[in-house]
Amino acid sequence: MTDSVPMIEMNALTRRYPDGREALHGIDLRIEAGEMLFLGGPSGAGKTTLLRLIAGIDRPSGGEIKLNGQLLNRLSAPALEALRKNIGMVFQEHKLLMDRTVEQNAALPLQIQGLASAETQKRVAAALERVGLGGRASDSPLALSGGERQRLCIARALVGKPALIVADEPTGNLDAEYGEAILTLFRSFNLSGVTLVIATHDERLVQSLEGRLVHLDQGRIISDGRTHA
Amino acid sequence: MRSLAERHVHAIATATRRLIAEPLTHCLTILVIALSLAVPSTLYRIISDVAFMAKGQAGPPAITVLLRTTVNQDQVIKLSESLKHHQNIATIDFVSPEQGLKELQQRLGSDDVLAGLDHNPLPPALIVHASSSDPTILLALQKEIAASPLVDQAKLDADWARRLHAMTHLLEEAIFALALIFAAAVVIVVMNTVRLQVTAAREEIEVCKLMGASDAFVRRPFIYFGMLQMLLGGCVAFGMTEAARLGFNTLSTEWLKPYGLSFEVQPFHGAEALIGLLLALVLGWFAASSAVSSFLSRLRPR
Repeated sequence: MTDSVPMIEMNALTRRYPDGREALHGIDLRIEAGEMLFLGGPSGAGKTTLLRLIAGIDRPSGGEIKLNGQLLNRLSAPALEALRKNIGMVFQEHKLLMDRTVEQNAALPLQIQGLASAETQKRVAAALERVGLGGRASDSPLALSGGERQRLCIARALVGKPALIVADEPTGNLDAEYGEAILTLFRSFNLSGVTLVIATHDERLVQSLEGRLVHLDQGRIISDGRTHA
Repeated sequence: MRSLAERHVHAIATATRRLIAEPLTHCLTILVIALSLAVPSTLYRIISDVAFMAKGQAGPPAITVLLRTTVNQDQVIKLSESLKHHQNIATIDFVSPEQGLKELQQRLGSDDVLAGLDHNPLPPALIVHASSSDPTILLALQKEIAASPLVDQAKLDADWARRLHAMTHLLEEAIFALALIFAAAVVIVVMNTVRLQVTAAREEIEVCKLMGASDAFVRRPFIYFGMLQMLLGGCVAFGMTEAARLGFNTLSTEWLKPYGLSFEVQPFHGAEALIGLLLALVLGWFAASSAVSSFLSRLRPR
């Protein structure tokens, strides 16, 4: 245990759905800044629920969750908005806006933050370049392959320069080669100081990267260790 | 950082893009809004002008003041002078006994009205034209004049005044009720259109909220969308009202000409049109705001 404030801290965290089903039960977890943490486990283990609680999309039913020492349980709407602006999110289903260009999709978080146009363009260009979509800025997301769409989703998460990125099954719809490329990309962000929490069911892919692996099953942590890389 | 003005310009551009994206659907919606605004405003214009004309044709309500036969010229002048300064009196006409007799002879068509009488029995009279047609004011004025020791009787055709006032008041109330019904219809139409827009942009809204967008950021383009629809609807309604007014004027000229009368409904003044347009914008804002807010409340963490 360290005395410093962890980036994410969960104590006896519980999440029950309105139908009474318990998705998470008594989770105690501490994630330090700069960590790369993989959440493993079968479907329904509670990985997505845990990510949703970290991002403030859902509220816990019991226990507590803190982000940088700030209790998320009962955050006001403005505080929640400020919190989300500092978290990059990557979704398995991408959640891209198909009626906008690649560039406009990547620029969305900066528009929400109210960044000036010139600075937005600069940062979007750099983010797209970093994920290898530099030449596709004016294309529609419909013209991109599955892997490219996921990279666009990552560029959008990255563009706001967040300290934390949460990714839900970012390699779920990709073949092994693309999946590995995506995880390597995440590793490069981690090396530049970004904390990453990635939910994945593909543990073979995870083992190729260095990081921490937390196993969930039926809403409980069943193991917490390092990957084999 | 982007200025507030830039954010609003961006929201207006988004709203305009959404409006242009489905031109036929939105044109029909704008026409429905325009009709809902045009019907009560046209009726208001015509009825208020007709009521104004009716009052004008009938002349201001008058009180016939019969003075005592013992009253002399100086007293009549003094009384007239004091009444002239009354706030509810517009004009006063003096009718001498001789003038009254002349009018009576003319009305009866006989010069022999005084046969058998040794003098003219008619009293001097004042015809007091009130400045208001409000029956309460008229009755109070009649009472006040009748209280003078120089006055024998003060007669007021109160029934006529009351009828005219009640009729005008009833029509105004009816138009107001009609305007409320149409305003509610407009709000429902805009709310429904915005709700459909919100549903179509559901995914976009959810993504924006996940990235920390404030409710104001999400709401802004939809509010401008609703207001834009109302603005366009208001402009079309103004055109419809003008067309109806010109059509009505042509017909009324044709109908009234044989009777030597003329009547024209006046156009809306600049201030009236501006107030109408502002009211439409407020309705648009309210409708759009309500539609988005109910959707946003469903996205809050539970």
